[in-house]
Amino acid sequence: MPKIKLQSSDGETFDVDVEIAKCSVTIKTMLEDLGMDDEEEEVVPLPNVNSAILRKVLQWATFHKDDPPPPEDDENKEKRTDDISSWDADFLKVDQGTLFELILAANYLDIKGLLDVTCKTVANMIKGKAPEEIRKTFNIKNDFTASEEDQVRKENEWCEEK
Amino acid sequence: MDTSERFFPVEDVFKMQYLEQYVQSVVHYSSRYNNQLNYCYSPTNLLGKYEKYPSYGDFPEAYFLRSYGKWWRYSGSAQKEYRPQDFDLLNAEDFVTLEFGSAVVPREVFIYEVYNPGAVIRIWGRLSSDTKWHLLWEGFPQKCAATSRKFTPPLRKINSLINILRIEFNQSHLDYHTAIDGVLLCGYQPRTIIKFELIRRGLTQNKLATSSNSATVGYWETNRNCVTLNDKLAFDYINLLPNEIILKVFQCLDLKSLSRCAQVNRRWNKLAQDQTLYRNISLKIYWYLVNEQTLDFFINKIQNVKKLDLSWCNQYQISFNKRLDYDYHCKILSLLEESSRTITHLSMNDNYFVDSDVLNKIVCCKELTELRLHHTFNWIRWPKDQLTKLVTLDLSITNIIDEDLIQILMANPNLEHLVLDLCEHLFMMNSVVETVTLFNKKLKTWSSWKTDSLTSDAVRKFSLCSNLEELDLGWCLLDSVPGDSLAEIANGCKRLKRLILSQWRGATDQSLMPIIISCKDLTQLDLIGIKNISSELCEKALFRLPKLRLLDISFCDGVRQEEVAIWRQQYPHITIQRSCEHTVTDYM
Repeated sequence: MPKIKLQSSDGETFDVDVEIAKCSVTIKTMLEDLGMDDEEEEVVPLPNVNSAILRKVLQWATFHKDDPPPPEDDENKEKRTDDISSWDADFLKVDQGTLFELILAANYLDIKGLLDVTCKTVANMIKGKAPEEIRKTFNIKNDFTASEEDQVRKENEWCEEK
Repeated sequence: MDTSERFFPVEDVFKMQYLEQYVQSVVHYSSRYNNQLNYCYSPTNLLGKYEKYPSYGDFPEAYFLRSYGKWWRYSGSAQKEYRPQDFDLLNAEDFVTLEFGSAVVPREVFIYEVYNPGAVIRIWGRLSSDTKWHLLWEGFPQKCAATSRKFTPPLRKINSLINILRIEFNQSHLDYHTAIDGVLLCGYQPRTIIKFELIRRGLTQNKLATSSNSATVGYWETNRNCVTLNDKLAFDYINLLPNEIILKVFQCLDLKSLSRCAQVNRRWNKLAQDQTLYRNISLKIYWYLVNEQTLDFFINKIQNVKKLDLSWCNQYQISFNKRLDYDYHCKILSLLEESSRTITHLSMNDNYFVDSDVLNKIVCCKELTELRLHHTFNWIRWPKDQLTKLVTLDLSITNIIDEDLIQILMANPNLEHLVLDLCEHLFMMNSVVETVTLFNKKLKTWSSWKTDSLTSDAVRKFSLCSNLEELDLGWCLLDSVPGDSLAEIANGCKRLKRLILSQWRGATDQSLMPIIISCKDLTQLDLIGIKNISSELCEKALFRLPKLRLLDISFCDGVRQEEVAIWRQQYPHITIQRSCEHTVTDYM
């Protein structure tokens, strides 16, 4: 199987099956545009992804290499968050820094499946929580003034038990 | 329930009277098996004490839900969720709302299930002069033994007065219809008006700790901590994500979570109001919260709405306050007006507020392809103005009249799914069918269960609808002899997958045979109550229809029970229904 080399932002090189690397639309397009398809010993630089994250991304891509292509506009399936496979759920048991780096990498590399499952994971961390709990979960600073907060609470109180 | 140790029942503080009450009136329901005037299987059978319990069986004296299992979900006319993010974990399919004579602080509810029990998933309580619904119990649907059952789920402990119960059902796991014979509400009644008022206004709350009323089952609790927080680095990583990714996360959220995100900080507030998040709105699962403020909240967000589901949203349906009703009704009108430019799917099933004014707004939504008005009854005439792009139209249990229906049909050449079950004001079904054959060539689903003014001549005309895949003509045939109408259908509608001929009493082996020979795609065949058919015909159907999955031969007296048992072994992939333990057809 043909291989290519991917180089992370911190200079580490990874030997990867072309087919696996191509689950990234960014890399796939790059290879096609540059006609690098059959070249050997070509190194693709990925300046936005460090080696730790790239290793994770490749681990994910290797496991999912035989997945059928994601349905193009099945918007319903996309939006359910209770369908994360147990492998993915295990794979994503990581600290928040890693999770959000994975999201950014999936976005940059254009790997739809990984971006979907990571976003769903974040959505599941939000669901069922009160605003203060959400802030606590993600260390978000509340930058509302007291009167703004009051206003915003009133605007959104339809969903709370009266 | 976790606050139960701190719960002080109000009856321990006040002297109160313990009351046991059966249903006094049926306020609302989403499903019925029969016409209004027919008492068999009717919701009104829930009134008063149970009649059949503890017997078990198919009793017309009980309340039957129309659907069971997945069969109705498979229909092309079944509604696909408008907003899958806002799904009901327990998947309530139907409800019935019941009123009792005296308001009590509820302590026990007994539900007498006499046929296929296990479908009750939620019990709500409310005082008719108040707007707040209290969730009294919820739980997953249950697989039960085939015996009658007095269902008494443990109720949430509350110190509020109620005289209305709403029971929600999920019957999708059942093998056949479920039936409820009666409901008993037990609880404490205040002995004086002063005590009544004290409890009603919650003035006893200081003394008594009440349990919280949260409708979520805590499902997400278990999923909450799937990512562990690194406490040492308390850093708001999520803030590093670009807006487009935060929006992608928000796309996965239900409406309630979105409203909570809007309260997190300024950035999230702005993002959570992005119009792309509100293209599809379903308020059905929030029916107990939806009031005029809710609608106000969404009016600002729906300029680009595509799908809107307002089914079940009847907050003030038990109209104790005309002013609230009026305000709510006005908001519905504004909501429809705001969405009229872009909306393609509208569902307002069982919504009490659908009246002529609302209809007039609906027909201004010119892009509508799907319209569902199941069980809306506060309108009689359809507006002169017409929709023209409809693909799916559900007018079951409405007052639609022939003349107006014909106008709708003529204006909508793309119509594929038409549901007219239990429409009691349709008397000229022959003209309706004729219109369909001329103007709705794309029709795939026709359902007119118990809309009984069809003749065999009209049925014959369906053969001109060559795209038909589903034909529900249960209890429809006015003249008892089908003649050659089924042969015609077999000839013209080769794509039929679902055929319902319940109670076609005059049908025979001979009239049904052409269907079995020609309609090779049939997956569901319903022959309930056709007494003339023989075992031989059933055997042929089982043998010759390769895709058959459901055969209902209940009350087919010509077929022997022993044979059914053998077929069930021979054809394990086919569900053979056989409800005949009690000879009840004569009532029907």
